[in-house]
Amino acid sequence: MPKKLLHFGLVILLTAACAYAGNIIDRIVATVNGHIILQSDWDEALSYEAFVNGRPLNQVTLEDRKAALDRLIDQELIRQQIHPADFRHPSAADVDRRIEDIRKEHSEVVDELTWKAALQLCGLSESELRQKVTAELEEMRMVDAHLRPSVQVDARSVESYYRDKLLPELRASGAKEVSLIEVAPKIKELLAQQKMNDLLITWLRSLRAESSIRTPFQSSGIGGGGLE
Amino acid sequence: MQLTGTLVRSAVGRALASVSVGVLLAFLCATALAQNQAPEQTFPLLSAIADYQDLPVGDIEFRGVESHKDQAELRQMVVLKPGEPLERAKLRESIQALYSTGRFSDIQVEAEHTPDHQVTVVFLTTPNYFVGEITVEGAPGHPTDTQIINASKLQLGELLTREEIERARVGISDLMEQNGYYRSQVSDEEQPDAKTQQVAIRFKVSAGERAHVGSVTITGKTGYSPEEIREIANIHPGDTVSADGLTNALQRLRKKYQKKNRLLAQVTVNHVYRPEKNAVDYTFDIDPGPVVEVAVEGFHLSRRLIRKYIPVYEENALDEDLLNEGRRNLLDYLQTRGFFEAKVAIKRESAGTSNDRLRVSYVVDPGPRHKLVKIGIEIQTLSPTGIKYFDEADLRSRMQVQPAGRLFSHGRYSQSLLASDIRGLEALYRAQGFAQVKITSNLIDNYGGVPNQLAVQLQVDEGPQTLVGALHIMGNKSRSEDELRSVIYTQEGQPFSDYYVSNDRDSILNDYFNHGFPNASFEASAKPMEGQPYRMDVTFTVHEGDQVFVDQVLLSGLYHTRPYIVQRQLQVHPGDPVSQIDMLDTQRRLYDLSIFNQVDTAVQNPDGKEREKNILVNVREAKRYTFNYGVGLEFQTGQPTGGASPTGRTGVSPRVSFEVTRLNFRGRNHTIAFKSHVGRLQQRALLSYDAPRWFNSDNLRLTFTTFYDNTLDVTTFTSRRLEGSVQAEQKLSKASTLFYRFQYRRVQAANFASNFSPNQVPLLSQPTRVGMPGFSYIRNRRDSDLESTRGSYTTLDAGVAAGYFGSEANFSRLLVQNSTYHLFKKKYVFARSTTIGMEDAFGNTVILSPAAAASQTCGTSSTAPPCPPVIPLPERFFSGGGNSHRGFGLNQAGPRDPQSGFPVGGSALFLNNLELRFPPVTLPWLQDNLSFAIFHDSGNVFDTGHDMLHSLLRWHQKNPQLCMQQSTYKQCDFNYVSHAIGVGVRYKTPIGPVRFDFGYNLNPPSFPSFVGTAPNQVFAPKQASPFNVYFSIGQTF
Repeated sequence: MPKKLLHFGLVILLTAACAYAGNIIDRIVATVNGHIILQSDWDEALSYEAFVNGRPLNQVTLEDRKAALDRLIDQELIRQQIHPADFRHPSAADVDRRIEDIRKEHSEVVDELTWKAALQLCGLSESELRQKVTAELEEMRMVDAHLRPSVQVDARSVESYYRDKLLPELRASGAKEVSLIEVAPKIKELLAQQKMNDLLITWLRSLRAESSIRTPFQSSGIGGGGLE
Repeated sequence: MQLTGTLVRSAVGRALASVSVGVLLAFLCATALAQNQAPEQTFPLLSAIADYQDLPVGDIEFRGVESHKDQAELRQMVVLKPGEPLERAKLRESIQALYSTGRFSDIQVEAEHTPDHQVTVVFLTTPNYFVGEITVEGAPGHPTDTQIINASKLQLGELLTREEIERARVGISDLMEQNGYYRSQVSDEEQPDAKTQQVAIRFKVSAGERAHVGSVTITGKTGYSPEEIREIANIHPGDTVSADGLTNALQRLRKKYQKKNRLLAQVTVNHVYRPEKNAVDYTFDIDPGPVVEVAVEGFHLSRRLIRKYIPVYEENALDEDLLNEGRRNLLDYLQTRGFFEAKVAIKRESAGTSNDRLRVSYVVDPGPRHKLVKIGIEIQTLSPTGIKYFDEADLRSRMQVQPAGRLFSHGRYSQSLLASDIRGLEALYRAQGFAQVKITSNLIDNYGGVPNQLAVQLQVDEGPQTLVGALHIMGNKSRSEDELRSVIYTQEGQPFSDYYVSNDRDSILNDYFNHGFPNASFEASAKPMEGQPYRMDVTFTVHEGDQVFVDQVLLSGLYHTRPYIVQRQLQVHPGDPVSQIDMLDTQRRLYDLSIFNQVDTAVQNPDGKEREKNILVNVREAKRYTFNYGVGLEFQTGQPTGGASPTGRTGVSPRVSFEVTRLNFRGRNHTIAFKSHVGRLQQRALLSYDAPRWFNSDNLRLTFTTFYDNTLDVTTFTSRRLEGSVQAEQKLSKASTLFYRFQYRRVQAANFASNFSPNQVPLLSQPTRVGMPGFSYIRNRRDSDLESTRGSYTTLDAGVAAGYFGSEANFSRLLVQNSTYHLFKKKYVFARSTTIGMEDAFGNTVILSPAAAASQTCGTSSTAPPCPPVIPLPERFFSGGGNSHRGFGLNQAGPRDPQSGFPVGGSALFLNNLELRFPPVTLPWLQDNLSFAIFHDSGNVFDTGHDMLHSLLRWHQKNPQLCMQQSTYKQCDFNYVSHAIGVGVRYKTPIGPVRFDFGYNLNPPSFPSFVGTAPNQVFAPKQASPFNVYFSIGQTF
């Protein structure tokens, strides 16, 4: 009898232990010049990306995860470079417009109910989506404000793009040709953004070279920062 | 990272419509996931926090942090608090706060449900480690341990990462390769200490075989054969590769070309290592460049002056900077010669058949020759008292423009020099609050009606002086206003200027840094006071930031030294604010122990945001044994002749010296030293034990010394001395030091002159044991020990030799010296010094005058009575020479043996020196290193103290005729004050002035002497030479 009681007691204890066992709820996955990026930031970024792209979370690959972390690191690097006072914050209308664009990408969303269901599927609430969109627009504006002054597109480049790239593409697709005057502003903007894209890559590369970036979770034998 | 975005797709509408979204969105994530990428592997996303979110926090724990104290500190830092709901934002902030301490490399957070529906939050931490002691095993000697440690570039206290260690290993390998060790292996071993988070790092170096020089190839039109180049470079196939070897080779080659005026020669070297042969092949690429000729046109300048003023010769290089420096030097030279409007241009032209010559010409247009005869300065002041803030002399002393004088026969002037002077003077006024100062100049040509004679008239308008009306110091919480005011210049009533505010900023921030506020910042603002435009209301605002305190002081590198030796030098203590000045002070004090080669102090985890930080002290112990040995030749004038010449003879002898020093004896900073040198002329040995910081006091020092000396004291005899002493030194104050000592010595005089009074020899040559306790007091208040201009210097030395202390002679000894220095007219120094010494015999010991001693018959035969104890000859006072009385030769003052005329010293000494030291004279070549002095020395050595007191007013030898006659020579009296005047020349050197003194004795003594040997001795009285010349180093007193 006492033996049975003892066994019973042990079972109860083990059950209780399991019930109250600790779970890792967050951890540092990277540090950028002393600023931390948490597992929860990473998860949230992945959820958002999956939602925006209309992909189920269970299709997210290892490469996707790594790329998402790289982007988080880039965003942190840029955030550290640009003072928030230097740019104009996005308005509520800008945020609404962007959310509307995302919503249009989801063909399965027909009403508020399906919209909320789609969000929930990716573990996002409406307020979290709004936050992410706001942050995204803010960062985009930061980069734009920083890089655009150093970008110049001359008329010759616009004409060359129109003649050598756009017209052949239109002809090949059988679409109606448009005049240069009609599309010049948009081509100019496109070329400007391409140049900004190049500048951004160079800028990020130099920022990474100058920065202290650690990924403790990826290190083995030695802690991300020091010796274990 | 996916940053591309193809905006133009299949049709223009879609392509250009998407432009507004922008390419930049790509990096921001939303459009980044590849749409058609197949899932390779899926990962569950962590959403565990959702299960705990908004539950009340029960307990907060830290795993990986052992100390309860540390846990309590961390608990205060985290934003999450027990009882409050668990929120993601707070959790994030808490992790950031913990990470910012710099103590952790990784942090995870675990949550556990508790039975009472709360959540326990556990921070799982992985510690960071920091660089501690670095040691090296297997260093080959070149490079040394220290060079290897430096090559690792690891900084004490910095965060240690695997990348840092890897970088360190690469740095060490590079260093080894530079020294020829291409096959070296470098490994490392870390010993982390979880308690202190320090890591001791040991680099193990296996040097391997040193590489040798393979081939040496020469390229370029060198002008020499390859063999010659190898000889010049002193680098040959088969030589051992070394860092110095290659550097020296390059230097030798460059020098060779430079000597041939090929100042543009380029010599470079490439090297390739061939591992199969462990050899390094060198290729020297040489471009000798043209032969450079430098000439001056338009003005005659000797070759010597061209070499002096054009620095390309001195630097052996030719570049724009050096050429321009040469131009400036020439302009300066011309201006000093009166060509104030001179212009110098530089012209370069190639010459020779293949442009192998480059001629650099300085084309001089000297213009008319002027002479600046006067600089007038007129100062207008608004001061109600009419007192000018700076007088004319102050302003003149700061000017480069100078009127004709000794140094510049035509004066020194140019428009740019004058403009520069005016700028400098205006800045001087502005620094004193004269913000509106205005200085104008007027150049008067043909001054006084003389053609080309110039005068410069400066008009200084001081303007109003702005003073500080009120000073407010804000933001200071930890430092009181009084404390801050004590370190700054800006005060009410003082001049107000940016210059002083800037200095005060540095002073205040330094004060804060030294009180543990590394992030303190400072702002200053000032506005005129109401109704008082020249009184400023000044506000200094301090932002203190967080104060950082010392947690622990961690010592490393102690192997032989006892820790307490280091601990008692520490100026940083747990709980103190972290102070850079205290750390530097600790470092200085540890270096002062002279037992460490290197001392480093650092803050552990310098970038971490912790309230308490560990201070690291790492030392590298010096080698404990030092051996010095040598063989040489000693040369000495004034050796005892054993003959009749009072000036002695010159002796030469081989000499062997040996020294051994043992530092850090028994782990303390005590030192044992044995020093000896043995030659025919001099034999000395010394064994000493030195214990600084006796009784753990900075002011006490104990020294034991045993000393054997067989050497010359005066020309009269040779002194043999065997001495043991113990001395305690007590520093009473910065200026005053007291020495307590007991000396026990056996002294003996020998090698007397052959014609020395035979009756005195047994008396004076008897070996005497002297046991003498005594003390010395030194009070040094001079502004400089080498070149004193102000202050005073006093010494008092007293001792008693008595039978109680084992002494065979009973006497007391007192020697007092007082010197004072007075600066007047800002450049003249009047120095004076008075020395009084007295010895008094007691008990059975007697003092005998030379005449009385010569009449003694003791000890001359077996039947003669034994000699009474006398004060031993080496214990007596002697005087005369460059450092005492400059009217006598070395130790030639005072009583003399009536038979030989040799000085035999006395029992009393009086010496008074007066010296007027003139300021340095600026002369070509010697600059301002030469100066002159005139002096008057008076005094003498006397038979007894009584004789001294009664002879102080006697300025001439008493009845010198008695000394000059054979019948009365024994009555010759030397008790009088002898006077000497003279002139001195001093040349300033880093070790003190080199000094030549020419002394003329106004009343030299006459003294009897006999020449020849008994019984054919002839009475030949003499008079000491009045002329004396001395050469020595250091001031007289």
